[in-house]
Amino acid sequence: MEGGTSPGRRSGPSRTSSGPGRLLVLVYGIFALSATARAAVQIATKFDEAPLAYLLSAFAAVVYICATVGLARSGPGARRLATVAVTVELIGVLVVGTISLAQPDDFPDATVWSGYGDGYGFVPLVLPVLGLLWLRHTRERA
Amino acid sequence: MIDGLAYAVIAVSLVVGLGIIGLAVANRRPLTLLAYGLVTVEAVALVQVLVAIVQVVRGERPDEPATFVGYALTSLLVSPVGAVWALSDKSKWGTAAAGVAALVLSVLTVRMLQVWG
Repeated sequence: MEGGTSPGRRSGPSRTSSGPGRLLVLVYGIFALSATARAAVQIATKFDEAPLAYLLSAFAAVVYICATVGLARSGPGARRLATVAVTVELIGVLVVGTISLAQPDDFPDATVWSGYGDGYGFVPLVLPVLGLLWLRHTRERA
Repeated sequence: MIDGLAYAVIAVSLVVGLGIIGLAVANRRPLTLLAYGLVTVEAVALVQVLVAIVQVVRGERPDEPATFVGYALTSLLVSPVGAVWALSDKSKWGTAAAGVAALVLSVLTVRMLQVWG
């Protein structure tokens, strides 16, 4: 078995940051950073142009930060945080993606989740699915 | 930004990143080689940002200054921080994650070109 050989590791759910989780957390971290930076620039420089889209960008940034922290840390609290954040992320990308295609006028400027994340190679759509699968996998591998 | 330099940076990022992912797939982890590759990625990122600073000092301006500065700082930090964190996992997934960290520079460079104008 690869990964997860840190000393003092007890039996129970395996760490979400080991093995494939290391790659997953890295990608989440990159999205957390870029979403935060993007939202900060948007809100600081041109908030009036598309307040809804920019507030949504900021919300998405918080969700990515929570998911990154939850997956990177171990313990039941972190796992709960990650599960909630990744679930919100999946709902967010589906709802925002659908609205952005059905009512483009509501989104004069793009968010991470517009068009199901097509501006980001659909990674925002794939990531929460992988995240939930990984959370389930590490829970079962007790 | 100088287009030719940016393309070279993208090429280095792709070669090093995909090379490291290839090593991970082959289940190999040559730490010295990984270090050389990752230091090279960081070096070209640094050269690119220094050249941009010189251009700004000489009076050129990016189309979207705030966004450009964000990407420039990120381009210096993400690959090394991501790679160190990735390699602290001893599995092949940690190695692969270091490769992805190196690849990020190519995406950031494309975005830097776009917001420079």
